[in-house]
Amino acid sequence: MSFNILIVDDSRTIRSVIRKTLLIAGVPTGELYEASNGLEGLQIMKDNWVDLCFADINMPVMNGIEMIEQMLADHMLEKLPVVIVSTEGSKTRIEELFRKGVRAYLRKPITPEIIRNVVKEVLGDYDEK
Amino acid sequence: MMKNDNRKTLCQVCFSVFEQLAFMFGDELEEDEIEIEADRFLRASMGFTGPQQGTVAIVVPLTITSLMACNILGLEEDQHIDEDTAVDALKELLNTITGRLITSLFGEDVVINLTIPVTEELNHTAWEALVESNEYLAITIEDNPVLITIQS
Repeated sequence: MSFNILIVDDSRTIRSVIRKTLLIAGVPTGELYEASNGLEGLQIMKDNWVDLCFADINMPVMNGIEMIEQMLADHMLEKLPVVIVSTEGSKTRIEELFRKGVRAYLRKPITPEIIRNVVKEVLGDYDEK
Repeated sequence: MMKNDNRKTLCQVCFSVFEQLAFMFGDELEEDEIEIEADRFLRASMGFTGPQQGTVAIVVPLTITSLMACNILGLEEDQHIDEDTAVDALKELLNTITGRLITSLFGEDVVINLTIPVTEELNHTAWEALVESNEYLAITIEDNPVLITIQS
């Protein structure tokens, strides 16, 4: 089995780092989609099957919080698990994100071990399947 | 001029982020120890707004941006890095420094919004003006002088 994963971040560097970290972590990936803001991310989610979305908060055009709000308003996307990858450390903001259904919050920089654990936590232990 | 407490925190956060994200190691630098022949520098800056407002900026010699990008992206050091990639890597480094700095200085209970990082190229004259301004903290990263500041 493999997972289709979407990475939404305005930094090409971070998209590459997450992509590489997923591969190093041994996460079985199918399609790896990339978007540079929330609006592009929503379009990819609507056009393709996505199992998991990694998203930044602070992005131009549409930020991560706005993207999640749009997902919640769309019955096709409301259940799609989102993991936030950000530099921000405000407890208040993190709590707000969890209230909006975010499944996990990762603070940059991330490691393969952290990614592996969060994917297993959100999508189930793929090693046992 | 930067507050002394800010200088100490800035130093700690910078070293930690350079080490964890770019696998580059740093040390403190006195103003009179700053010597560099380079004539091209890159300045990245980003703002923060909310209960606390201000700007964080970093200035590095252009020559170290390729190594920085290679390390962050996990590429070989001799691999060609285009300028856009190097600039993007510096922006991400600043973004990570700023996020950690905000929490270290203002705590985890406040919500502070960050702006998108921007960059500009500086020449040697502009670099020297920043060194003399006393508004920037000087550190060395892999033997290259780097300037960093938080203005709030």
